Amino acid sequence: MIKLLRVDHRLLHGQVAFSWTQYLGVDSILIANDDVPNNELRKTTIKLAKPQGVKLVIKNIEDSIKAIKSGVTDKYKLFVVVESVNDAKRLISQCSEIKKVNLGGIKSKEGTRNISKAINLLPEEEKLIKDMLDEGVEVEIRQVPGDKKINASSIIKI
Amino acid sequence: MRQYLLASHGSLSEGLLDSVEMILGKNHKISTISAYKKGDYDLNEQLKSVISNIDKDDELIIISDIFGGSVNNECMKLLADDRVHLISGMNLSLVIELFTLDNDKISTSDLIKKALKDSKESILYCNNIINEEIEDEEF
Repeated sequence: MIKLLRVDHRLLHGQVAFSWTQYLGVDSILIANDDVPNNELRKTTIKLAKPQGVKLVIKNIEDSIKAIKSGVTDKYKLFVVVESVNDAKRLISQCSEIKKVNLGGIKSKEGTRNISKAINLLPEEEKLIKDMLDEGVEVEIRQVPGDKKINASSIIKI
Repeated sequence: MRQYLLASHGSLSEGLLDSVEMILGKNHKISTISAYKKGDYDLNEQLKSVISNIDKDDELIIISDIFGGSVNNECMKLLADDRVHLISGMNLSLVIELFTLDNDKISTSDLIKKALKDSKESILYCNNIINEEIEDEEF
């Protein structure tokens, strides 16, 4: 069962490892990213940051979709972390099991709009989020579980 | 209930709390003492006032900055009160371990022992581990 999908450009780090994993009560984390499986330094760093007692699986987006669709992840309480809205959309459009998305950290770059603390979106990313909302996915903005939950639907302007 | 107190020479405690809150969110069970920032400062008095606010059935876990320092030495004097637990050598992973392991089912001494063990393991010379082979996990 997929408890949550988080978008965070830092992928697995303190807030994710310590706060979210415990708050969600998950037993497994999937890092879905096309760069990490081929980037030894990034991969090792993520593996070393793994919280104790939790399974950590790293796969590219396509293999992540295959794993989720095959049913091998069903027995886990799974927390999926991706680094971009685009990657989130790729997973969501293939995996109807994903019902909840958390926006945790998206870096500002040229053309982005700061919509909340630590969340900066390009117009096309706002559009993708609008699509997710239209498909009935709950999208919320929250860095750590104790923060106030902001519904993306109240902020997305498109 | 367990209360926590971070006690340091100067502002380390406040800075550490700021970092803890960035990672774990706000926590109302923690207070801080930043000692000796003013010339007429009395640590003993400030500690007494913290203790007087702890309920009879509550416990206070004090985390001091450095063993052998005067802040820790002053806190040692409080150990006659068995509601007080004192840990020296404040650091971020220690405090995060304490908060994430803390629950009603674990005894205070087990909580502290476990947090100390886990956080000591995260003090590392990273150059020596970055080339470690860690096996990939699968579902």
